Amino acid sequence: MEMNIGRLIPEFIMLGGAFVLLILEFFIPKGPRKWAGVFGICLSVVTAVVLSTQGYGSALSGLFIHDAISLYFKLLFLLVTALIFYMTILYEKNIENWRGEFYSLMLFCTVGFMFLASSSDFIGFYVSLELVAITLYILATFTREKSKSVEAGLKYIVTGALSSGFLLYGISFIYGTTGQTGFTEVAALVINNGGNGYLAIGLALTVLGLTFKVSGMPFHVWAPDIYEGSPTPITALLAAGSKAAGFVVIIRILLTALGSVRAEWLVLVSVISGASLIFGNLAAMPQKNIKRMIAYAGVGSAGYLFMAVAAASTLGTGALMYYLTTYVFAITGSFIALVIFYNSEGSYTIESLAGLARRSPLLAITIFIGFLSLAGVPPLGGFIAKFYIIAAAVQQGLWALAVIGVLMAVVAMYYFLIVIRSMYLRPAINTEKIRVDNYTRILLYGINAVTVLLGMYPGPLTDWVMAIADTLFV
Amino acid sequence: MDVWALLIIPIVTSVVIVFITRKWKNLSSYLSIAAVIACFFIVLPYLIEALGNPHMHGHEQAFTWLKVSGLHIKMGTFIDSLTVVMLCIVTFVGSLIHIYARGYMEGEEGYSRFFACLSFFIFAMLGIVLANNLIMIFIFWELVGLASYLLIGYYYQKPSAADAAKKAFLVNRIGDFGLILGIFVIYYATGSFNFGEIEHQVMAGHVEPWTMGLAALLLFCGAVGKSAQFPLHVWLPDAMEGPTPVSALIHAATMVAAGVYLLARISFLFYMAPPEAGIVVAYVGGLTALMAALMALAQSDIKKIIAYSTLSSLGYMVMSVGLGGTGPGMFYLMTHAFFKALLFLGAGSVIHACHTNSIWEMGKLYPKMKATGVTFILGSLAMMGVFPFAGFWSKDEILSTAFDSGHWLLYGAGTLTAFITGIFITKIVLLAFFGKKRYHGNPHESPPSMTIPLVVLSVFAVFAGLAGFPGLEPNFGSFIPSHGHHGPHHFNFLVAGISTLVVFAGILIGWKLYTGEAEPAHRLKAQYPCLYKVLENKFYFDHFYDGVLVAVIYNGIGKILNFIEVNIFINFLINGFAYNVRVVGRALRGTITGQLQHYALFMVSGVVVLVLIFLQYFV
Repeated sequence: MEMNIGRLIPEFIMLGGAFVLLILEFFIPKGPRKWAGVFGICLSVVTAVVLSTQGYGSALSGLFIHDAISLYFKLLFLLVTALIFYMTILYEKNIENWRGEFYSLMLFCTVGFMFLASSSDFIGFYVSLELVAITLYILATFTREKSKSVEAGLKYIVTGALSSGFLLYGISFIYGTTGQTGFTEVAALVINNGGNGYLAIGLALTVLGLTFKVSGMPFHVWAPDIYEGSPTPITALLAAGSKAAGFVVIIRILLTALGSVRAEWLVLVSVISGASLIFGNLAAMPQKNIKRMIAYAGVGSAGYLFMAVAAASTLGTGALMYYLTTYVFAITGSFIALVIFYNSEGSYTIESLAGLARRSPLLAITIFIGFLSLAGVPPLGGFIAKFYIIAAAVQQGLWALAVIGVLMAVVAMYYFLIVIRSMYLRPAINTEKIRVDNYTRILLYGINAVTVLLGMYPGPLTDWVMAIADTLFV
Repeated sequence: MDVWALLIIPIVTSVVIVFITRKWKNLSSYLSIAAVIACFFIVLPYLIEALGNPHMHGHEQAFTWLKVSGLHIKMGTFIDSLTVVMLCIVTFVGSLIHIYARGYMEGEEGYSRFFACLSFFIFAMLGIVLANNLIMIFIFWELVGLASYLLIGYYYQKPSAADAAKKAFLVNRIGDFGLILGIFVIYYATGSFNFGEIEHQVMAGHVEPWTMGLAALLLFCGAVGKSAQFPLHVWLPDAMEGPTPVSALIHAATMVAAGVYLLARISFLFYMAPPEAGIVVAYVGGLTALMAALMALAQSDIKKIIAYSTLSSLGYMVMSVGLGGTGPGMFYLMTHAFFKALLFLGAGSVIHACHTNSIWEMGKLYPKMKATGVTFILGSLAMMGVFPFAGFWSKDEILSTAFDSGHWLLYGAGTLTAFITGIFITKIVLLAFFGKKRYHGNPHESPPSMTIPLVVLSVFAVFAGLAGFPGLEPNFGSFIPSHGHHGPHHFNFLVAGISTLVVFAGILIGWKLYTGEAEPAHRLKAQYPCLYKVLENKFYFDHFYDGVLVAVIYNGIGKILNFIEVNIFINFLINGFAYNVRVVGRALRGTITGQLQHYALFMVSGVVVLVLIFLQYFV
C-alpha cells in the first residue's frame, strides 16, 4: 500500500483554488466578485485537463482510487461546477451582503464530489460525503436575510444528520460483519462467506442513508423546501451535482462491494425505485413553483436511476451515466434561463412565466428543450437515457419497474407541458422584452445543441459510457 | 442522399421561418410552399421508377445510430412502392394545401407561425413514411402528434381550440402507449427494429404466432389513436377547431392515414399471426365506419360532417387492411386523400365566404361560387362512390374484399355505411349550395390561390380511381405488395351493382329530406326524437368519458390506497386523465407539510417499513 500522493493532484488544484479565494477574501473590499467566478471556471478547465492525463490506480493506501468511472464522473462534476459558476456570476446581485466565500465553498463542494467519485473505502467515502454535506448546508442558507433560506437550511441539516446517522449505523453493521472497510475487501469477504442477517441490515441502512443525497424515497422529504429556499445556483448544484455524486457511490457500493449479493438488495432497490418514481412524478403535478416542481421531478429521476442500478448490468450502468449527463445539461440550461428570468422578474412561479416565448424566445426555447429532455421526449437526450434505462430493466426481467417507468414518463410529460404551455400559449402579463447578454446567448445555444445532439446522435457517448460500465462487470 | 433531403428541407425551412423570416409573412409562406414543392420533385423520380416497375426493389440506406451491448439501432430510410404512394400523397396534396393556405389564412395573426408548423408537420410526416425501423417511426409518430397539437390549437385564445388540442394529444398518448409496448414485444421476439429484418424473421417462422398476434394488436393500438378508430375516435371531430387547411392536410389526407400506413407496413405480421388478430382489426374498422357515418347524420357543422365522414373512411381502410386487403386499403387511402382534401378545402372556401360553419346558414351559394360549387360536387360524388369517380373504384375494392372474405357482417356494415354516406353528403351539397337562401352578407368566390388547388384536386378526385381500373396493368392492386390471400383484384359486378344501388338510394332519400321548404331537421327531430338525440350527441361517447367514468372514479373512495387502479382507469378516461392524477398529486403533496418533525417521522417510518420489507425477503 503506497500513498501515491501524485494521483491526487487534480483534487489539490481545486482545493488550492478554494483556499486562495478564501484568503483573498480578507484583503479585498466588499463588492462584486465576478472575477472569482471566472477564476473558478478556469480552474475547473485546468483541473479537467490535468485529470485527463492522470493514470489509473489507487492512492492513500487504498482509500482513493482513480479509474474509468471516477474519471467520467469527475469530468462531469467539473462541467457542472463550471456551468454553475457561470450561473452564480449571473445570480450574484441577488445575494445581499455579498461574500466571496460563496465561490470558495462551491469549490470545496466540488472537491468533495471528486473525492466521492474516487472513494473506495467506507470511511473515506463517509468523510467525503460530509465534506459535501457541510458545504451544502452553508450554501443553502447563504442568503441569511431570507427566512425561507434559513428555514430550508435548518431542515436540510436536521434531516441530513438523521440520514447520516442511518448511514453510519449501516456502515458499522457492515464493518462488524466483515471486519473490513475497503470496498474490494468487503467484496472479497462477501463472495467467500455469503451474506447474513447483520450484513443485510447494514446493507439496507446504508442504501437508505444514501437515498438522502439523491433525494430518493423515503429520504426525499427535504428536497422541495430546500430546492425552493436555496439560492438558485445551489438548487442546480443539488439537482445536478449531488445526485450524480450520490449515484457514483451507490454504484461503487452496490455493484462493486456488494455485487455478489445482488439478489438480496434487488427488492429493496426496486421498491425505492418504484416508490420514488410514483411519488415524485405524481406530486410534481400540482406544483406552482418551478423549483419545487423540479425537486419532485428530481425524486422521480432518482427512481429511474435506481431502476438502472437495480438492473445491475452494463447497459443499466451505462444508461445511468448517460442519464446523469443529459440531466446535467437539461438542468443547468434551464436553470441559467430561470436565473436570467428571475433577475428581471423576481419570481419562479409557473404563472409568472406566461408569455415568456414572446418576451425572450431564447429563454423559452432553452426551458422548452431542457424540460422536454427531462420528460424524455424524443429526439432529445433525455429520451435516449430513459429508453436505455427501461431497456436495461426489461433485459433483466424487471417488468413491473419498466411499466411504472413508462407510465410515469407520460405523467412527467403532463407537468412539464404545463410550464411550456404557460410560456408559449399564455399572454404575457408584463410584455417587456428580457435581454440576454451575448456570452449567455452563446452558452445557451451550446447547451441546447448538446441536448439535441445527445438525442439525435448518441453513438459516441454511448460507446464511451458502455465501455466504462463494462469495466465494472469484468 | 437525396432521400435525406426530404427530411432536411422541411425542418430547415421550419427553423428558418421561426428564427429568421418570421417578421416577413409573405416570404415565410413562399419558403414553406417552395420547400414542400421541392420535396415533391425529389419524390417524382421514385414515382416514375415505381410506375415502370411496380415490384421495385426497395431502396434502403441506414447509418448506425447507437450501439450498446445487445442493442443495435440503425436509423435509415426505406423506399418501396408503398412508401412511394404515401410520399406522393404527402408532398403533392401537401403542396396544393400549402398554396391554398396562403389565401385562406390571409390576414390571420401568426401567419408565419402557421407555415412554420406546416413545414414541421411535413418533416415529421415524411419521417414516418420513410422510416425503415420502428424506433424511427415512433419518434416521428410523436412529432406529427406535436405538429397536430400545435396546429389544432392554432387559435389558442379560443378555449375550445386549446381544449381540442389537449384532447387530441392526450388521446393519442393512450394509443402510443400500446405502440411502444408493441415495439418492445417485436424487439423481444425478433431482436430487431428494422422492418426488413423483422419481416425476414417473421416469414421464416422464427416467431411464435401468439407473440406476433400480441405485437400486431399492440401496434394496432397506435393506429387506433392516430387514425381515430373506435374507441379513441373522440379527438378527431374536436380537432376541427384548427384552421381548415390543417383539417384537410393533417386530419383528412395524411396524418390520420399514418395509422393505416403503419398497418400496411406490418401487414406481414397479420398474415403470419393467428387470424383472430386481423379479424379484431377489421371489426374495429367496420364498427368505426358505420358508427361515424351515423353520427355524421345529425351534425350541422359542415366541417364536423366531413370529419365524421373521414372517420368513416378511415374505418373502411382499417377494415380492409384487417381483412388482408392491404392493396385496396392503400388504394382507398390515396383516392380518399384527394377527394377528402378537396371536400375540406371546398368547405373552407365556403366558410371563408359565409363566415360560419353551420350548413343552416348557407344555402343557394352555387350561383355565387361556381368554382367552389362544381369542385365540391365532384368531390362529393367521389366521396359517395358514384361510378366512375375515384371513390367508386376504391370503395368497391374494399367491399369486394369484405365480400370475398365471407364476413357478411363487415360487408353489410360497409354497404350500409355507403348508403348513409349518400344521405349526409347529399345533405351538405343541397343545404350549402342549393335550396333556400339562408346566408347573411354578401358571399363571393374565393381568390385564385384557393380555387386553383380545388380544381387540381377535383381532377384527381375524378380520375385517380382509374389506377384501379380492372385489367389495367400495372394495376394499383399489384402495385402494393400484399401478403394477403387475395391475389390481383377481380372486379365483382354484384358488389359494384349493390353499392351503386344503395348509394343512389341514399342520394334519393337525402334529396327528399333536404329539398322543399320545411325545415327537415326539425321534422326529423319531431318524428324520431330519441334516435336524433342519440346521434346528435355522438352516441354519448364524450358524455360517457366525461361524466360517467370520471365522476364514478372521482367520487369513489380510496384515492390513495388504490391509486394504481386509478391510474389504470385513468388511461381509459381520456378527459379525466389530468384531473384525477392531479388529485392524487395534491394528496401526495400533502405529505410534505413543511413541519420538520413530520419529515423526521416520515423518514424514520420509511426506513422501518423498507427494512421490514427487505428482511422479509432476506431472512
